[in-house]
Amino acid sequence: MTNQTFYLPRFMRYVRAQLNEKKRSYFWHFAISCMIYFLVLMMVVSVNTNSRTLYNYELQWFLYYAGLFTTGAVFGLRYFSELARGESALLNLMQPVSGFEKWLLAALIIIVAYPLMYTACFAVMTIPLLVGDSEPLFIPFRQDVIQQLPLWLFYVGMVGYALTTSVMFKRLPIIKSIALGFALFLLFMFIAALSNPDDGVVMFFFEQDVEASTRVLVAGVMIWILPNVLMWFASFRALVERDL
Amino acid sequence: MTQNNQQNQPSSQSNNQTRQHAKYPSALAILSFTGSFIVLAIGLLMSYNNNDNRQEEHDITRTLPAKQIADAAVIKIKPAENLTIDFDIDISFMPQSDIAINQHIVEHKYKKPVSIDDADIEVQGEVITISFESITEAINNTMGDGSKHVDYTANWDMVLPRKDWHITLPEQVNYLYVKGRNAGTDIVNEGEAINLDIVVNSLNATGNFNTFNIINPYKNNPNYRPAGVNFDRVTIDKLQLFASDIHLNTGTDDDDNTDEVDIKDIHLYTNPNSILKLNLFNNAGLLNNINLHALTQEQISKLENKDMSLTEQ
Repeated sequence: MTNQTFYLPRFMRYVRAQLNEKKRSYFWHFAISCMIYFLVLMMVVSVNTNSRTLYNYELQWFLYYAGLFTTGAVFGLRYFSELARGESALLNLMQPVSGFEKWLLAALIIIVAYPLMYTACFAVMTIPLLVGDSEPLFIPFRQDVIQQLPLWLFYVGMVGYALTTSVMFKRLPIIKSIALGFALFLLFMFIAALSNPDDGVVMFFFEQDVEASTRVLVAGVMIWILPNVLMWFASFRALVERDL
Repeated sequence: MTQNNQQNQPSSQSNNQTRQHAKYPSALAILSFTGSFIVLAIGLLMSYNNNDNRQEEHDITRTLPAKQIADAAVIKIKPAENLTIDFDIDISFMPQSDIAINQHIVEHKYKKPVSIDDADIEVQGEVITISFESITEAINNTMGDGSKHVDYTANWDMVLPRKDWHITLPEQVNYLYVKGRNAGTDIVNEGEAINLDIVVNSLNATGNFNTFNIINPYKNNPNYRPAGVNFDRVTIDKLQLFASDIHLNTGTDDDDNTDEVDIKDIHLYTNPNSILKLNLFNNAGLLNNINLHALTQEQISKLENKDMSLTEQ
């Protein structure tokens, strides 16, 4: 009697199958990302003539996260891209694996494996620029962990949104995801203008510049924790719903 | 073989259940999806800026002209022998950076809280002098190499205990005269200018600044412009703020409107028990002294007279 939701040998077979099927796609994703990063880097460094160093730590920090958010969103949107096409969708949906296992692998790849691979690419692209320079290489979580946490929570929520919408929208998922994302961005700009959020309250978990209170704690959970949990649960339900 | 297939294939029963309940998971997925945004929106609404509550307090003082408040500020200071002032000093280093958007990140990168427990407090008559001699050392210790090539932002949070202030004011308004000093030099003489780079926009950004009333005693000073308007390297001889909780930011901010204002004296009207938070930013060197004077009416008058003479010049 096997667990129909999760069975490790079956899951491992699915992992191997997925990597075999998609390794070329992943390779090209990172290759194009590296090329874009290289172009951006050249542009930024060329105008950054007054900087202390050619490619300082702060600039690395900024470009690392800017790249992670943009390429991560694209990666999340394209993770189940085969579902958008009838013939390939059928192959995906008929794979001998449970919906939970599909979702689990997607979460592991997008939240864990992708940032690791992205960081490796970033380091490989950046190190040559730092040769002969005293500037350290930016590696996330090597220092200032607390300051970086909100960025990672944002990343988790954003790729969760990308994955959910790519599964929920059966036709033209990428375009619809971007359009909806833009509309939500405008909506939240309006909400933010309405509430005039206090930075200290919003960032309480990471900076604690304001006094702790029930309102502050609840607001922090509702901004940083609950939306991510709900979004990833939505992606799970959407995937299970489409599964055969 | 059959058993192997059973292991490979999730049961058709569970899939049937999924199809049978197709509407339910669909609703659940959409509910979770929209719920995440609703929760986020509620969270943002809950994190509203509490400073709005202080608006009404300031409105009372804001309607009063400076002179009227100064006249009413009959302060009898009787410094207690064991005057205690609590300090929380938070120092953020902000290295030079050409990219404005990086400055915020840099600020966090180097943000290292430093506690100063042994600030020197000198009580002489009616003048209370507080010296932060150890800040320089603290900065050097934090940076390790004592590098002089950093700018820094230092926050002073001073809580003035009411019990040590004997004030007879219907408006509960106190008059404080705060003067900064540059490190590297010795004690700055009365009236000597301090150079603080002040970004007025960051005051606005805190949401506090609009609750203040800056009253310029030099009405004819062409360089003076009211709050909310960009200051472009002007010199303000005197800046007066009215507030119970003062949050004065100086230094560079994250946007392009980095304006610099040289302020010689900062005059703060504040309520007792209020928190005076100065966020000082000094390009020239390490600013490690602040004098906090509680003035008598006579001293205030002298000060006002001196200012007037300056104005006439």
